[in-house]
Amino acid sequence: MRKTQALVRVAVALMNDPYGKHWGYDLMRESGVRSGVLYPILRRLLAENWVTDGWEDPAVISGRPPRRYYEMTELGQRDLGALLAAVRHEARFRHILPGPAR
Amino acid sequence: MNELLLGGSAWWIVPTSLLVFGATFGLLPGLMLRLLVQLYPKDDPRRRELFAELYGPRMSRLGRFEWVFQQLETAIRDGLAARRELRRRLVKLAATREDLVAYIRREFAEFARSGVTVTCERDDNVRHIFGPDDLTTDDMAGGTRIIITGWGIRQRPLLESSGGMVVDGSPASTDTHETWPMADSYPERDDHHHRSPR
Repeated sequence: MRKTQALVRVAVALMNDPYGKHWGYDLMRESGVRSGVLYPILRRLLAENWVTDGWEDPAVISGRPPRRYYEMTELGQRDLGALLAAVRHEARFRHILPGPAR
Repeated sequence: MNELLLGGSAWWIVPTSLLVFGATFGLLPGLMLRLLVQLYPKDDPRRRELFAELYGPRMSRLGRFEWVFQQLETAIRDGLAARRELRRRLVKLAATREDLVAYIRREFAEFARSGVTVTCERDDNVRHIFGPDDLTTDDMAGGTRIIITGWGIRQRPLLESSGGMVVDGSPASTDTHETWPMADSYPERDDHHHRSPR
């Protein structure tokens, strides 16, 4: 998959909580990637088996339709982690990636 | 253009357009989004997903306005791409199906001529691909009816061991027609008309 700023931003947002559920709208806000770019990326991540998807349980929500969520697979955690490690030293991605812990 | 915008007779165009734009995206977001997601293929889960996000717990009123407006781009980029991908897959599926039908006709012509009914029990996937009338009396030599509803037909030894009557020897696969492994499994044709399903 081609390394783009948008992909790296989405990867950072996903890796912030690698075991959690991620919602499309929240991912959009966290990553700062607009939805017209985010959703094609999510489609590719699904195709690569880096994330899986599911739907909220209708029994635990009320008054609104169930939302779709995304969870990282082990493969996704490994490959997206490797991607972030690989781009860490590239100048064009430096401003996206979180700095070293202090 | 300047004349149109600044001319005395057209002063109402800009505010009216803004009003219509605001009403459409701001007051009728659900309706607008329903229209936009029509760009996605019929069964694409993203239709539901985008709609559900609109009414998600963290979406503010102003956020809805922005969300619906953004989905214009999403539907065009993602939805139309999904449609293109679906069309490509259907073309590939049709080509594979054509190959399989030809293979079945070639392989089982002898059974057909000897009056054997071959029935392969399987799920609805193949029935969906072939349709109910694909391989019937008119299709086969000798007026024999062959019902194809499963993958077992490519497993000739099983067909023979069962006396050519009923075969349920398909591999334990519940793949949908989108990912079915059949193309890799059935034998290569030896004629020059063979078209690779890939």
